[in-house]
Amino acid sequence: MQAVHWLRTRQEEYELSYWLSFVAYDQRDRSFNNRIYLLYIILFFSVWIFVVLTFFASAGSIILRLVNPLNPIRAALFLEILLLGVWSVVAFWLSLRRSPVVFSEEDEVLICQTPISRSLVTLRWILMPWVKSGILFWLAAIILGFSVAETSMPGVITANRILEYAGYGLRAWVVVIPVHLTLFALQWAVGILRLQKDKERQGLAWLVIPAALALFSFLWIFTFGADSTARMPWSQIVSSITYPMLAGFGQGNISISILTSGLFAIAALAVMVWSSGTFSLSRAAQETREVDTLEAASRYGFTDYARQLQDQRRLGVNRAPTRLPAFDGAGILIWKDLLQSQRSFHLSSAFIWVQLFLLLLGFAFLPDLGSRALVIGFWVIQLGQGSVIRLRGDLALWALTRQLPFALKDFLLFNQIPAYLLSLLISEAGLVMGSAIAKTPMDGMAILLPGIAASVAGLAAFDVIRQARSNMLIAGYVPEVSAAGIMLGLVATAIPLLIRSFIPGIIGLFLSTLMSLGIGVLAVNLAYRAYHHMDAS
Amino acid sequence: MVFVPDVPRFYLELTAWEHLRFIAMAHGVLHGFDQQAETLLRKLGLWEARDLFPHHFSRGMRLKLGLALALIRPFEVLLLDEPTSALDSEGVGLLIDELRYYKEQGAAILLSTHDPNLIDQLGDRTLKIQNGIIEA
Repeated sequence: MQAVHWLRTRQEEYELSYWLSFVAYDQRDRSFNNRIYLLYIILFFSVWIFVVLTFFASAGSIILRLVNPLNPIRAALFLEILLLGVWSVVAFWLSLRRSPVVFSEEDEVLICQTPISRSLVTLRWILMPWVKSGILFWLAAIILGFSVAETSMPGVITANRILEYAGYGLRAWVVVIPVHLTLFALQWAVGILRLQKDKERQGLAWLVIPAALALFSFLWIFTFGADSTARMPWSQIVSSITYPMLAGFGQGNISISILTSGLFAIAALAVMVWSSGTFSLSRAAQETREVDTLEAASRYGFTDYARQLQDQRRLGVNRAPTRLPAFDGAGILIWKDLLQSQRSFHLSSAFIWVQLFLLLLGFAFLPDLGSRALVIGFWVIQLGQGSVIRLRGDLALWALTRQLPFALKDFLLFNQIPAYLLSLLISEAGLVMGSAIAKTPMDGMAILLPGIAASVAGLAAFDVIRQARSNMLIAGYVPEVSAAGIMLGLVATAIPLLIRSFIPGIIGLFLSTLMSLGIGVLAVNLAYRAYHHMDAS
Repeated sequence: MVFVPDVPRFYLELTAWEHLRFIAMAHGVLHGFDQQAETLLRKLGLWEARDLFPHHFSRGMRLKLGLALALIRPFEVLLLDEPTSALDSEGVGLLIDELRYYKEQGAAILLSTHDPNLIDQLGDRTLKIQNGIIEA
């Protein structure tokens, strides 16, 4: 067990050092200066967080008065119970579908296949996930506590009353800690009970329905029924649960509250430990190692790899052969693109295209050149990144795609055409719709868009290809659109727009259109030359 | 020319069968594709896995699919990088038979290997690299 504790401690330290690296603190540096710096960080962020939370508390006090004008404390408790309750139901449901205890691939080998006490492993494992899960609720409780202070403390809150004000937040926080721990441990216990040594209990997901109904009933009785039916059993239950939490907002004895909720937390942990006696760590590791890998990839910036893992999970194991019509020769790239888009479509993948639409939808509503330039800038960035998704995917399979019997120009064109047409269609639709709603003509912009979109897409492709090296492509590493590529796209967009704004009338429109198309053709040729150069080197 | 790397990579969204179809259509060799692809997949033991996504394949299966993609279309030169590294003895035997067939058809095959059995069975000419230096 000492080994498990050592391993888990190292993992927790590693995670903590990752977060501390955001403030440039190095845990390994044991110098005096570094320790002073740590003290400074703690003090600075304590004050900073306090100030930020007071801003939220100002809005919170308004919300409390809206929810319950007569009793803001009860309103605060209602919101806290609602937050914790909804989270509990969702977490409960997730635990019944996948192990709440997450093990990495290394954990699977080092711990899960050894005869260590499962209960002790679970007890040691809970700390870091509980803290990560609890932070939001702790902050919410502090904000609610400050909000209650703003509604309860008479007069203006001045500097000499800061400690009293802070006390409200501190009290709410201290009470919510064991409450959250209770719910967290119970959620773990339920998930652990599903994965036992000799069997996996299937089909328990329906239990979330009575849990949701219980939450709804609880909130209903708390809001409408507790006063008029104070002697009824369900009201007694509701009161016994809400009493400790009320003390967090100033009503009731804080010591008894902490003791009560502390006992609840210990009982919940005991239930969790009892349920882990024959917990199947191997099954838990099988269910969660991919989740752990995905989290680590996202956290440490391996976004392509994280996206790949997510796509693999979505695609599943197999699919019946597609019936999409296909074309011989380079046209097969369009077939492949359609198939890929069809199978990997999900809301987050459509987000880039939705952004393109919304940016140009809002374009016509903007009053001045400065704000329009900002919107166009964002549009260029999104278009640049969206237009090279397929190209990057194909370059990552360099060993496969390089052997296709197409001319380099055909490969590039057929690769880029679908993304270009889609982005142009979406952007034009947004622009036309925005123009119609705002009753502001955008004919000039609509005419310039095809050339501008071709310029941005071509220059983004050029930027990716010029950075690529065939030895890296073989290994699957493809560069992203760099700042240089984005700058080129912005310049290529600005030139025709500036011509249009400085030369009015039909001549300006003609010249700017010619310029945008010319830059578009140039961009495509640049991409082709870069591809040819990379291929030859 | 066809190149099969030691760790072939594939499209996430295409099944094994669709990969073959993609390559065949790109090279314009769709005539008799269904039969040829089935024969090839059965020989390589991938017929039952034809509708699976390659990311669920074992390393040996991925190598076999890479070989299938190389062999589905006509070629004159075949480059193979450690083609037997992830194959079992049956797979190695199968690979040797296939390569011997294409060799007899006139294709030039260049492969890198640590497998002396492969060299003995197929090698007309051998280059040995020791400490970065080509020996006879």
